[in-house]
Amino acid sequence: MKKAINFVILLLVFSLPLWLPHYPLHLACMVGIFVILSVSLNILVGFAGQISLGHAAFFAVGAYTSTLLAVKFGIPFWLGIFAAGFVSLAFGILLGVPTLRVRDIYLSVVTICFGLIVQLALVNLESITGGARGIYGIPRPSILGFSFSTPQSYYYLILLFALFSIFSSLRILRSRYGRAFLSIRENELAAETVGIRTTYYKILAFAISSFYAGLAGSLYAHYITYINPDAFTFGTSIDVLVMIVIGGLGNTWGAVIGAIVISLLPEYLRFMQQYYRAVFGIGLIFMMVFMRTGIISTLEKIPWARSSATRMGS
Amino acid sequence: MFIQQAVAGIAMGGIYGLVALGFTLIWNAAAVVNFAQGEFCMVSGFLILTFFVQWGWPFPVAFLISILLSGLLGLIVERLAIRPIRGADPLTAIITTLGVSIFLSNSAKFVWGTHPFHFPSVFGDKPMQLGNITLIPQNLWIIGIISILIICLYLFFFQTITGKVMRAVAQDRETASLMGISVNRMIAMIFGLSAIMGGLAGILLAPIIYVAADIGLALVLKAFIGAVIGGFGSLPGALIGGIVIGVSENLSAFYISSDYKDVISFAVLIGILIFKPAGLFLKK
Repeated sequence: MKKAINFVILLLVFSLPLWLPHYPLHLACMVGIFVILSVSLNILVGFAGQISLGHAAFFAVGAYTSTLLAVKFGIPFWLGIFAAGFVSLAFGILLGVPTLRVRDIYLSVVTICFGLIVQLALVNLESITGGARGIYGIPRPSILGFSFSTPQSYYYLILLFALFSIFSSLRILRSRYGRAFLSIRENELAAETVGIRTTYYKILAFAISSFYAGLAGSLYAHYITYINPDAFTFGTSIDVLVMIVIGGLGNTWGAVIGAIVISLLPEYLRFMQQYYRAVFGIGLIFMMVFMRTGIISTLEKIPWARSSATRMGS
Repeated sequence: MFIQQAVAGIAMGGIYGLVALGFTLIWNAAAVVNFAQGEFCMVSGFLILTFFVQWGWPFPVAFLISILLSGLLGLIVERLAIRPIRGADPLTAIITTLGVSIFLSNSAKFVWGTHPFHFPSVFGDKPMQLGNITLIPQNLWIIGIISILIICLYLFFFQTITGKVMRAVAQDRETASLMGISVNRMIAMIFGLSAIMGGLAGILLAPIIYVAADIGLALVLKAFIGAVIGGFGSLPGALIGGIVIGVSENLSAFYISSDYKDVISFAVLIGILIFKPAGLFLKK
């Protein structure tokens, strides 16, 4: 039964471009990008227990790096996306090092400030980033004469990176790195006592998390072909954090489910129009009061939905 | 010019300090960082705009009603959102109070619209000459009102039973509860008090900047930075830290660049957390 359901889901995910109309497919692409973002944030917040409310900053750094490389220097996407990942990783370390001494609330405020500084820099460094107007005409990637110009082909590109991030996240959790992250989350002092280099692992968590966010940023920029600072606000950071909490903190599949739910919610609740965001706020309070452990732990109560992966994560 | 900027900075900083005070009171009593603290300012700014500017009520009446309604809002928020999650992990508290903040600011958007409103200067914004120093009356008024409030708060916390009980709850919830204090009721009252202070800050702020639905978060961040500078959890520290932030922000906007004044405050926060995490004034 479980295998059959997994197979159907997999089939569905791979066949989406064949039968989905244009707009829903665009949404599927956006969901894929947010899956990468939430899976990456989950490594930092869910595994290592370091609260971050500035994830949009890494998303932005990735998007602008790869955009500037492509638009100003004509560097192909395939190099640009990894450059985006590594520049974003460098920023992750830049944020990770000064925040080693702070935790929880302090960390959340420092990461908010970091996100806002990046945002302000994008708006004010007009000569480089195009200011509030942003940058137009970002080329779609192409390989050996084949261009990913249609949403159908780009969907598979996003899917590739999304699967890559999901499986590496699952892999990380089962490795010594993942166990080190979890031990820091559970009790930093105890982790240090048994010889885990907490400083190293905390910075590593920032680095890995921001690397994937950078990849997501690059994918986003080359997909939408236009970026401006509005896509990388504090609101985006909140949304990504909400995705992993709503999905089930510390669980990779939870992060995936959270990303799907939170990115599609505005579409299904379109009839609420300007009330949506207010309802979203109420929804957050409700979730925190009544369903604190997230969607995945509710799903786990259904026998066939339980998988080894969900048990690993919790 | 320096003194004029510094006075404006102290006035602004006093407002940050009020927000920081409210936020620290809640932190001490309920161990929740209230990201929605700035929304009390936003809501009471809009309330007084409606009562005073649009409906033409006399200013003192509009002022009192706005502040009381803000306090009521604090009680409602505490009962519906904060009490159920008290004692949960920090992330739950963060998301809950962010949820409150998102709800309030977006509700304000569809009640009052997304455009910022100009608020008339009730205390006078015509510069006056004192020797060779130019001062703006409303800044002096703000500083005066905040000073009076601080004295009242001090008397309240140290001279009245309710104030002492609140301090007891902030110090140790369990022991307070063993002494027969109703902790839930005290925390609710502290929330109400904090919301009243936030409301007052919002009204004082209205003529300086404007009334808009999205000012809450920026206020909370500045207040938080102030609270950290003064040593997180300390009430006098919150006020002094708020003033430090207000003055440094005003001076850096004037002497360096107004585009980057927020960057400077945020950088100050990161710097302090690295080098002096216990705050500038706390001896540890």
